[in-house]
Amino acid sequence: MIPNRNFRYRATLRALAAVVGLAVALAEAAFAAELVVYSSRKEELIRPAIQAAEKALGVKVILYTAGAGELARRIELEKANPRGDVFIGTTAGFAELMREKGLLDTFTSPLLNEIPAEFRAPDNTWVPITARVRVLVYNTNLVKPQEAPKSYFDLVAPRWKGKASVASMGERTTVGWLAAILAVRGEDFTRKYVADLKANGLKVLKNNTEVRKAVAGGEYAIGITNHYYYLLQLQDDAKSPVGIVYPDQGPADMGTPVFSITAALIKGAKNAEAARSLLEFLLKPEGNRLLVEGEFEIPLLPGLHLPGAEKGIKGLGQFRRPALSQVQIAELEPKVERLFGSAMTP
Amino acid sequence: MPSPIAQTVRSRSFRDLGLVLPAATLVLGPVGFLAWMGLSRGIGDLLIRTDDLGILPTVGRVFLLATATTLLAAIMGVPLAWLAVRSDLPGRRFIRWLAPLPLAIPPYIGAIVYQILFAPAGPLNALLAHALGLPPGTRVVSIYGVLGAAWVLSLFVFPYIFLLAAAGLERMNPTLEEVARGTGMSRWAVFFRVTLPMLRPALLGGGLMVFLYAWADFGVVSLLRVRTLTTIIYDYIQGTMDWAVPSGLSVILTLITLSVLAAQLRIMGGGTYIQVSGATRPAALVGMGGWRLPAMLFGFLVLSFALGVPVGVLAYHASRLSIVEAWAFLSRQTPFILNSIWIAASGATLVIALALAIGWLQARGRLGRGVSTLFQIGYAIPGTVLGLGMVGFFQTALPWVYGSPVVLILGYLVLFVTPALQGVCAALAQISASLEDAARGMGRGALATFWEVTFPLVRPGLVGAWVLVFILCMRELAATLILRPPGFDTLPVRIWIHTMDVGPVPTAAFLALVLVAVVALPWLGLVLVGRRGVPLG
Repeated sequence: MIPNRNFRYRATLRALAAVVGLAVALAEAAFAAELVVYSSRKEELIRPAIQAAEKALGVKVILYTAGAGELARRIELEKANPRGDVFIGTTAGFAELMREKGLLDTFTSPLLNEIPAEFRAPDNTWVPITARVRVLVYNTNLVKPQEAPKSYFDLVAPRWKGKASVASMGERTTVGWLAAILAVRGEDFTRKYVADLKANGLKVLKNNTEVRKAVAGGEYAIGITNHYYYLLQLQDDAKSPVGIVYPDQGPADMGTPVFSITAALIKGAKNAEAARSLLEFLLKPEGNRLLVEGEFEIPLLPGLHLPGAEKGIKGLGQFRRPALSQVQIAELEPKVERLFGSAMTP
Repeated sequence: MPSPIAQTVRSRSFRDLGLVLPAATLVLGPVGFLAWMGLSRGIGDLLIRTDDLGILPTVGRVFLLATATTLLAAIMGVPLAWLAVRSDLPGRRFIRWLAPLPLAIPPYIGAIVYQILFAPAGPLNALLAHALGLPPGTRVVSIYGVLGAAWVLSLFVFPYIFLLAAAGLERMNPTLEEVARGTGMSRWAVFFRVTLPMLRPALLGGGLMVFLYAWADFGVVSLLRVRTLTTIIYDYIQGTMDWAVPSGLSVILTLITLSVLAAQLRIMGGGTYIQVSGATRPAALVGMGGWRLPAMLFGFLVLSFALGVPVGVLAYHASRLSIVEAWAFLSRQTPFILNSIWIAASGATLVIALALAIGWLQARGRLGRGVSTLFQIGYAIPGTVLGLGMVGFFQTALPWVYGSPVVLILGYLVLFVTPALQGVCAALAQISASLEDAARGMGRGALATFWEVTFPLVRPGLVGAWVLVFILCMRELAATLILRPPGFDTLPVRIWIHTMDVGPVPTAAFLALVLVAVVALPWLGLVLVGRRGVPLG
């Protein structure tokens, strides 16, 4: 019996040691001074920029990737005791919501003055770091280039019945796109447009990755998506049968919407100084270039290379865009959610 | 001086409270938080919103999905179990070993695999189009939708039914069937009129597990484009800052789940299945005769679809990475792999410890049903809902837990104490209380008796239960996705983020293969060592 009992005590000791180890590991996780970045960007694509920042600034960055809505929800929940330092989101919608709720800190940099005012927050509570364009992509096996739709509003025609797809409201650019239409064309028009689209069999997919894959695979002929998904698809497979259209470019048309991609400093951040230097780094040419090229976005700051120019991608000023500021679009987003939330769920 | 009886009652109710209070906080806290948030704009607003979202058709769709999954799983699991236990099929031992293994493949990984196979321009459609003489690029079959999701889900959950049915068949007294045969009934008639009814408790138990799994699933339905309550809730969490709609939907989903559970438990309780004596001897094996070939083909197909195809497809896709790429990728993912193993091991240990305490106290009549009922409710709460509720509840009530990995362990406690209890209770049932009484009689204290008598005896059974809970924790996705603190991603979370970002590509397949290996190894070890303590059996 004695050796057996010893064994049991040893087992108990081992269990105790495990508990202590657990506590130590937890303490480490809780107190290590690392910069926590709440990001809704694709990790593989944002990583080059983040790694360069880690090297340049000498900080360790923890990326917490989730949808922008979940991140904003977390930031609000954690208001009294913020766990994140920097928010890197998608369009200006959530950044504006959080600004209104007083969850963000201001950030100023001389670099911001080089960005056109329409893309910025009036009081610099959020920072436009890059931009993306809401385009149409089409499958070139199914649609000839000259027959591709020239406007978002062509998609309600019988010709495109059951052939168009779009990402759900989980993708903020879907919300921003409808907000831009709402701003330019008004509520009655937009309600009818969305109802007609749905009646014409518009397929709502989970996200833009699904849209680009569905179009490239021939599942749907048309996708309403962002310009860089066209480039991502070509990166996946250079022979993909995909084409791109910048819709509504006629003199009387609304133009193709452009969205600021936003970053912000979370109010009360534990590592506010490091957070500021990260934002500054992401605006400087060396950091911004990595963001723009890593994610195939279009640059808002002058003098940067435009990725995909040889594949038909247009930079700021090379196409017609609606005369709307990002704040105007953002302010309409909650209304879009309310009006079209259920229609735009997969 | 109070009577001894009154004293016992009081001490028991105190002990009950000691366990009931924390359990109630863990289970009811998150649900209460969601109810409060869901009704923040009044019940009228909630009803209008849910009506806009088409909740009724959605509930119908999920019911269809769960029913179809259960049927398909039964069609795979019951015949396989019968073949493995009762037939003289060559390779039946093989089936007995292999059939539980699909449990080690998380269904959402199965969904990724079948998504690759059935892609519109993927291998299967190309083959079918060619065979049918259709133009290349035609999509002949689609995996997207309720039936595709039911197919994928059933492939990876049918072992629940298989294990319970096989164990039921092994325990069954063969005399009953022999008597039935003796009255001139055909083999088929015996199977349908004697064997199957005798298996009813096992089938209902396994069926309920499968039904609830499909009902609460998030990963598969989301990948295969089935709109369910869990995906709507998740879309709202990701895409809006609104609390009212996702919370309200969560409460509705939880209530429906609980009523399903209650209804099924009533059905299960609605008959008695008394077998006067157990299986005194193994049943004579049934000669398969001319059915041998079709039966072998059936077993081969089911196991290929559930094991060979997923592992093969993942390995093929992962092999498209060069060694250097694979190594660099793996080394980047190592912290997440370690996170997963660490959190699943601690979670499983804690879950088993708690289940042992509850099971033992209950078996010795020192604890009421309250605690285990609470955890049954927890088990029925879909992971997505639990995640949302726990994040909100802990941030408000236990801020020091929120933001640390402990929150994941607490989530696993709520979700997995019930399956652990099944294993633990089976192990405890084999120990007679008189052994403990003897030790107590020899002057050992209650705790010493537990450590020196009870624990060593149940340990083999606990190992099996531990492995099962380890697997469940290791592959948990829905709740972990929402609960994980910054810097503590797990393997399933990485696979998920990867698949969402870039689709089912070689790196995602590689990561999925790593997860399957980590999950399958302890299971295989258990099977090879020959422990029969795996619960559910």
